[in-house]
Amino acid sequence: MGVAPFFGFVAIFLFWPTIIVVAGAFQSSTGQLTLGNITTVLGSSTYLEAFWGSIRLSAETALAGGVLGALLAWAVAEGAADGVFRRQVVAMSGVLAQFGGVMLAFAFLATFGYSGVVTLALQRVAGVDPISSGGWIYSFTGLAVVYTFFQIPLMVLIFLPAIDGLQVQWREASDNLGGGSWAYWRHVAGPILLPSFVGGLLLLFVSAFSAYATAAALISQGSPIVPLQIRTFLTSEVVLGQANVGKALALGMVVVVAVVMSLYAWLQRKGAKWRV
Amino acid sequence: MTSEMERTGGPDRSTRSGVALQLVELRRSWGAVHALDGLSLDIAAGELVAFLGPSGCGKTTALRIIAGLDEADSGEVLVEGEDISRVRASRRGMGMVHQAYSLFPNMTARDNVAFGLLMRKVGKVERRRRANDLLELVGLGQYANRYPSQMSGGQQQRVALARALAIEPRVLLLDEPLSALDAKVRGELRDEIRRIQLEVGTTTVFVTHDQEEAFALADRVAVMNLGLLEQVAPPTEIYQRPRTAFVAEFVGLTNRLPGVARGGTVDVLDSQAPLLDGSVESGDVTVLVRPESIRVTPSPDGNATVAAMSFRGAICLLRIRLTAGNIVLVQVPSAESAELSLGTAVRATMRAVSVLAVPAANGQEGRSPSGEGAAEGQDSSSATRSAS
Amino acid sequence: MARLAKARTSGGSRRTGTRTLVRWLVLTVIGAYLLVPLLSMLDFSTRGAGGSRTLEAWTAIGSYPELLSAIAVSLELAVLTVVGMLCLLVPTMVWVHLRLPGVRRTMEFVCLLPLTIPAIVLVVGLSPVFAWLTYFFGDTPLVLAFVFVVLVLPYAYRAIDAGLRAVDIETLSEAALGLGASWWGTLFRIVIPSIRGALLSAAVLSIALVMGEYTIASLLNYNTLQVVLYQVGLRNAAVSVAVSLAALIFGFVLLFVVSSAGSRRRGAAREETTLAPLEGGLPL
Repeated sequence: MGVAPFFGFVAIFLFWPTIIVVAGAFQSSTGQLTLGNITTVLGSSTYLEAFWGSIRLSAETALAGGVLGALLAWAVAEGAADGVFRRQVVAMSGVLAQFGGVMLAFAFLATFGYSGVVTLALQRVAGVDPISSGGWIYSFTGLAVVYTFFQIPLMVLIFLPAIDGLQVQWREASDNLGGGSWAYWRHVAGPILLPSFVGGLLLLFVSAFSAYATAAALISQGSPIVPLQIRTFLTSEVVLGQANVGKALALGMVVVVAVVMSLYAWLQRKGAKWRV
Repeated sequence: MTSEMERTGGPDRSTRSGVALQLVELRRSWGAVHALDGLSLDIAAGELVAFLGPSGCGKTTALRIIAGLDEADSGEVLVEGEDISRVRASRRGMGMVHQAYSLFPNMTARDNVAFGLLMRKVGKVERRRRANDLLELVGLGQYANRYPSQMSGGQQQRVALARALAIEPRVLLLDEPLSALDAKVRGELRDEIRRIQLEVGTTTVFVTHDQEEAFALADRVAVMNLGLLEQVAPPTEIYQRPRTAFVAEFVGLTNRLPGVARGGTVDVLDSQAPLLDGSVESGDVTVLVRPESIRVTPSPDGNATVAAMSFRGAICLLRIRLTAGNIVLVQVPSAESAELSLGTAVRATMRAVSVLAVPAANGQEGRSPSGEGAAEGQDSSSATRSAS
Repeated sequence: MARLAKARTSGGSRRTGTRTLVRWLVLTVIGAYLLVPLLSMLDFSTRGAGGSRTLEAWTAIGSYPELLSAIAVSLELAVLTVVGMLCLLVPTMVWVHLRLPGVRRTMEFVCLLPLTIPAIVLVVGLSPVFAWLTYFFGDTPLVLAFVFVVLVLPYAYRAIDAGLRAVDIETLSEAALGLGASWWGTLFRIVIPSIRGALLSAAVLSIALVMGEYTIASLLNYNTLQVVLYQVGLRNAAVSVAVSLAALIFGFVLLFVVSSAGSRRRGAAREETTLAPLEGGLPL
């Protein structure tokens, strides 16, 4: 069977670790089947707050990045379809969307950190103290601003094809029949783009929820989001008997992401009954 | 049915609704390209005028300028004498049907048709009723709840037509609405469009590159080339009395034959033929002759021999080689071809038609047609037919 | 339809006035949000004493041997990952496309799974796998390539799938096989050249991902570029910022060149499909 190498490879390097995580979430440190890890997670305010933090961060940045990214995609699509400007923006988006967490963190440190460009400029211009104003980048809000930075290009990549799908004839027909810009967007373009837009938001949510590197680089103390909580299980001394709680946290992440992805898949299929 | 028969059979033009449309010296360029170079045309109320021409002649540009989707660099568009150049597209009250992607994909047929009414703040019940009526008019009453993705191309264009008519437009604009459809559907829909247009009586502009379509539909055909109007006239006149070489060659098949003109007639093919207005009056000329205007009779001392024959049912297409060497395309009723075969010596003369004479090309005596049929014609082609 | 393409924004120049204004406003504001950090990186990495400009941070890159070796390691990992991804995916996908269309949905689902199983989750369960890997291959960071191939699956699959769909592989391979070519011959002589562009896209996406990967490498204690970049950054931020900016520029140039080569052959819309593997989503 020609597909054996592929499935074999995936079985070893994807399924096996995943099974370890999922199974481990239901095992106590002595190997017995238990729900103890799950209940620990659900019963602890620290962990629940971390989940809430992750969800909130992902939702907020998905919305912000989604709206801004959609606007940017629209602005780019208005220009020449094969022009240099558009190709540059698409290439830029491709790079920025994959711009690794550590490098992104450094970029924002260079901007908003204690000796960042904007911080220093604010000090020069408005007399704002760099020590107090330079620290916000390490906070939850700072994280949101940084996350949005890669959410925007990601949305551009996802949403641009949808905007390209808007035929110019629809706008012209709407104009001829007496509709203005508002009527066109409200009755035609809006409904047509909505499924892709919401789909994009869902993908952005997943992308932010799964992210680790940026937060790890910016936040060295405290763990306001789940990936950072998992970090503590892998890097620091683990409390006796709690070894598999980290796996339960990981399982929790998988559950959240799986739910959102199912929603996305459902949306793709059923989202618009008029789709070809 | 030709449009002439349709015209006499249909309602009197004076009872049609619709407005008089005037184009005055329209110019539009994109950089070095002159899409429109001073187009002027008067269209009567209720008339269907076809803009006919090759790609790039400016017909679509003119249509879009009338619709308000594009702005002319100079010139005016007048409706009932009023200049509407400054009026927005959404206020011009003109219905348009595009070549493709006409319908809003997220709406049913009924909602598509009702869209213009929605924009005019017509109430829901009334909108629904009128949309249903219009869908009945175009024969798609059953499809009201379907989405465009569930309809064929021909059905979509019918709905697009209904949608354009829903706003009771002053002018109906059709931008090659049949070009993207199958040949069979094209024919059916073409007749439908004419029927509906006559019934509703709206002034209509129909852009096409298909000569047959233009002739079948239009009251008058405006032949365009390179941004200018070559001739505007009823189809029969366009065909039988072309004003310029371009019109003669773009529409139907044409032979280019050498001749000598003098005082209102021209000597060509051993006969004399009257000249059409616009011809060169005297001297050596190239005469534009349609294949069906040539009579061919077997004759041992004739001026040509049959080089190829192609039986086409009611007619027979012949290529004859003149003694001078030119290959000429001739169309005869099959009955007249009974005695002809390859190699038969024939005498080719003109039937009683008027012809257009243009200046002879330098030193050349005129060129021979080629195109369809036998491979005998090695000379450069000048028999043209409209591109389909 | 060239006419319609030219009249991209319908309406006369009056109406496009507002639209163009809004467009430029959007581009400026959002563009600023995206460009300011990048420009800050440039400023930050070229700061000298007393407000002067200097390339000290950039030249200093050479004086950090751990950084240089980390760059080498990451580049090697990138190459290994691309090779591994191509060897694993291309024959399998072509085989499925031609002979086992029923498996296609399953394969697509599997390839998109890594999106649902984030790296941070995967790394939790990777220790046994890596214990086994280091047993076989020793203590080299290059064993990360195995996992990285899994990480790039979603993006690579999408890119290659788009390429396979764009060309009529069935007809081409039937013709080749009918003329007597072997299966592998068909693959290498016919199929692969036809999907060259898609393969290039998949490779570029993979390289970008590997060069930027931090999660698994850091939590398994391997010194790849991003890991060392972070460590160096704790001591000398300017150097790390310089390297980050260099990587960004490199990535941009690479992607721009690839997309220009691609769009010369196909339409612009296709080129973006290969760069946007997430668009279109899971066909579950």
